[in-house]
Amino acid sequence: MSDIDLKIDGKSVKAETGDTVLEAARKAGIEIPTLCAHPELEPSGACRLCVVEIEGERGFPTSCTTLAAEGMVVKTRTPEIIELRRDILKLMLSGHTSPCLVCLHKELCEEYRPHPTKSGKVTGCTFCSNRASCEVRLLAEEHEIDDLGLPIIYKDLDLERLDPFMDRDYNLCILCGRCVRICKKIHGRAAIDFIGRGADARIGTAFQRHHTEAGCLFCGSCIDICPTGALTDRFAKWHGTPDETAETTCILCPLGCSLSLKIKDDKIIATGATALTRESRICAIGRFVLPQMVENPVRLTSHKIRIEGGLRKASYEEAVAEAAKKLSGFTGSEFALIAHASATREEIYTLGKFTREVMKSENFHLVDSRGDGIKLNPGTKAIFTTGDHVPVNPLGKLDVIIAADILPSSATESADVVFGASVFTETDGTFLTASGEIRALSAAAKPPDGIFPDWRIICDIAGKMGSPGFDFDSTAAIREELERRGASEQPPARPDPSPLDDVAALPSAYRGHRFTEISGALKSVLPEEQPAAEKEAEERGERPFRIIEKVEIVPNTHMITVQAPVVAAKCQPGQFAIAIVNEKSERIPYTIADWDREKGTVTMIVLEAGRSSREMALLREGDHLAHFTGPLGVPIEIKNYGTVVCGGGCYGVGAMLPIARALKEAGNRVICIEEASSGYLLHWQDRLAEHCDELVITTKDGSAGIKGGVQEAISMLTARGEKVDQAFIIGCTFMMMLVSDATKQYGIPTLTAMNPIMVDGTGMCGACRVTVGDATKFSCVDGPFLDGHQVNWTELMQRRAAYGREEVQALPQDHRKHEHASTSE
Amino acid sequence: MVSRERTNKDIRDVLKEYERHRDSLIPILQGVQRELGYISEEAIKAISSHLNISENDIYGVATFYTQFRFTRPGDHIVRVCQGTACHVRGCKRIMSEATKYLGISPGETTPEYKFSLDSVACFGSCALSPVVVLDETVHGRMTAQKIKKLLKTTE
Repeated sequence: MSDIDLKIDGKSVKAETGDTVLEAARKAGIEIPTLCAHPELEPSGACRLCVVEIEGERGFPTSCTTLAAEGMVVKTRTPEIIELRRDILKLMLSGHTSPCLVCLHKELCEEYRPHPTKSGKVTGCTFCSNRASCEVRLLAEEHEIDDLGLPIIYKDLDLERLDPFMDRDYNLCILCGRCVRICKKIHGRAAIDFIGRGADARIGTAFQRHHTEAGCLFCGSCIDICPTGALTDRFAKWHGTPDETAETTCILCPLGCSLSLKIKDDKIIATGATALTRESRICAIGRFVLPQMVENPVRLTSHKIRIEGGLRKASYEEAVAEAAKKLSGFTGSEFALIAHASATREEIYTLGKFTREVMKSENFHLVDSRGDGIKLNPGTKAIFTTGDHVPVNPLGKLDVIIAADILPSSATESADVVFGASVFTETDGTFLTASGEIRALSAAAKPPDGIFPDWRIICDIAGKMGSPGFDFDSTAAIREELERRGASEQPPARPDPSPLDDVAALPSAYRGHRFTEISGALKSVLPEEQPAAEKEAEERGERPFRIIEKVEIVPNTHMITVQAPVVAAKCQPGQFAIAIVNEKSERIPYTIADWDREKGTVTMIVLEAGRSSREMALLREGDHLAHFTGPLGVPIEIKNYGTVVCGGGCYGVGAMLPIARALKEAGNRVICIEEASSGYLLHWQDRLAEHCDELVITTKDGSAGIKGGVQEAISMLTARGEKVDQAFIIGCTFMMMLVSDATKQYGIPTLTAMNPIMVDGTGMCGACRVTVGDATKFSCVDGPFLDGHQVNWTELMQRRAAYGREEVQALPQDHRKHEHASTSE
Repeated sequence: MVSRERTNKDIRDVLKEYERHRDSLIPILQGVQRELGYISEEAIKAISSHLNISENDIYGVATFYTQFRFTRPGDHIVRVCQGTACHVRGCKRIMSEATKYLGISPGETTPEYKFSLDSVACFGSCALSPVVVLDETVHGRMTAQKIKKLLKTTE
């Protein structure tokens, strides 16, 4: 390969034939910004960021598509090129919800809100799960873009989240085409492409089909390669950036693919392929289901022993001793051991050895990854099972059941001894694949404290039973023995069709636990296991709390009107209500935005920001809430203060309305301040304007009204000589804190609407306590409006973040189910 | 009315004429549209298996070009020119008369697939403005009265 000599930014650079100018520059350590380029992809020249100047060539060619040539003189960083790149970025950002990038309060916001809000549609970086690793954001910061000077275009496309595993918000898409190219590269027949042209071009499927019908195999490569938050992993996205990655072998099916584990705080938050190549591709189970299984909230993290009336927790040693005692009364065909084939060679060997040599039994059953329950021999009296492999009926007839498992099952429920066990990502050893290859596992993830792999459990029981030959101290020692003994090992049958080519062929269970039960999202690709008859019969007749109207008034913000005459009859400005969406939902307080006593309806503005508000967002007109309680909290005091300011943002805009209306009627001069990230998020201006003397608009990106937030508007009012006697502020904690800081300086008494975690709403549980000055107040019965100048904001924010991880884990994963439930009426 | 059986047969006839290569995609799409009047879901499926390209890929290519349509057109296609000359000469009234008479908006087809109505930027027949093109025939100096009569006699 002949070398090419060229000059880049004055530096002599050597390149190989076929190198692009971009590649030549990078080899020489010269960085050129790119977005559509990716090491795993052919160049496409779509984003134009990598433009350079080449002596003797017209215009600004893209370095990613221009081949390096002998004698070329390239400039990559002239002021003109940098200005051009800034313009390209600005154009891109004008159509990529970017108010947070140009916001005056950016640094403070990131300090006080280290985790982005778990929103539906993304309306800014603060609401984007990809904030930490967004390439567009990074480039905007590198290029010091703090003002766009362009009209903001919000495409207003629907959030696509009816498909399993992935959320797609193409309002963030910059059309770099990486997803399309990686899909074509890995699968040949792509599930997505550019649809339409020009301003209407977007990424999509033929005839707008769901991805489940467009041939998508859910390998997740498009998510991994997307530079923005447009494509996200629904389960992993809010868990944050992994601390480390580790490789292991997936043993959920006989293929034994390589798997990359993304670990944060010792927990697996996501899994992925080890490379974005066809050879390294993995299936939907490997890509999306594993973390939900390993970090399952009902994971067995302790050991248990049966006592009269139930099971009690036991130490590992107690459980081993009890299991040894129970099993010692059985021998030969009275005993059976049922294990899963998704196990290491070392596990299969020790479990088999235990069955034959300790229990003198030939009843060693291996259940494959698609297997149903096995049939036990009639004389079986005692079993050891590593999963949910035995139907309930034979279980009841057995004398002794020892279960080692990761999740509860009918076996663990009726067992005499239950061992919590490791998942394969938490153990080392080796796996024999369908192609006869022996692949290593790495124990990359940490099991819960006191939890061990199956091989150790069975060896310890054997040792306790006095059997020699089970004192292995590692899988290497087991491997040494099994290889020395030449134990017969048959490679498992190759799945046909391959799960890598057909979602219908995905492995369906691990240790007998069906993946559809572990990840709700799977139900739309794998057939439902539950018979239709088991589905709850829809209640007929009149139910209370019907949704009369539901509109997404602006992105991620829903106006919901519910039939609740008793609540409507008693509502006062400043009060809230608690909604429970369905039987399994949390109780969540929502501020009341309006009511109609005659019609008996109450209206709320709901911002999707977590599990319950997502359930609210997925409701449709005609659905019913499971419950709706209110009005709760102390109404604000309605009197003539003089001049009052009502300031609100996000869901607080609606809540301002009844307050402004009542204060105006009481003779106050009312100034309403509406804050939004960007102009397209403004709502209810007309309704507010009707009930105030002046409406001031502020936006964080300056696309409408004053650039900034409520505090900038208050500064403006003060500067023009307005004397404000009282302020009422409703919005997110961060915003209320900033505004309170400002009004304190100006000496304006300020009441802020508290939004802590709340449970009962009636002063019983104390979860909603807030420190105000020296006093502890309950937001539900003392508030929600409390003195903003005295609130301990830092403590409030800490308390609100107390269940961060649990809140992420509780997010619904199967949205199609919600859709079906609500359309079936 | 074109029956489904006939449709599938037509697609097969078109496909036979082209090599099983990606380069044939656009000629095939044009051939299908000539034969059926539009690119149906069935057609995209058939092309997909003929060329071993995903349906999404084909749809992506087809939607790039404004020449392809994805809904079945009427037996007659009425195109009302909205170009500058026609605009000045009152094409708005002609379009509104056509809309009223057919009961559909531009871009739509009557329920029994008799007429499709389209608006077009310019036919280059500005001297005859305002212009309506019915199927392949240019009708110049249109009036609200004349278009109604034209549509009536076409039925």
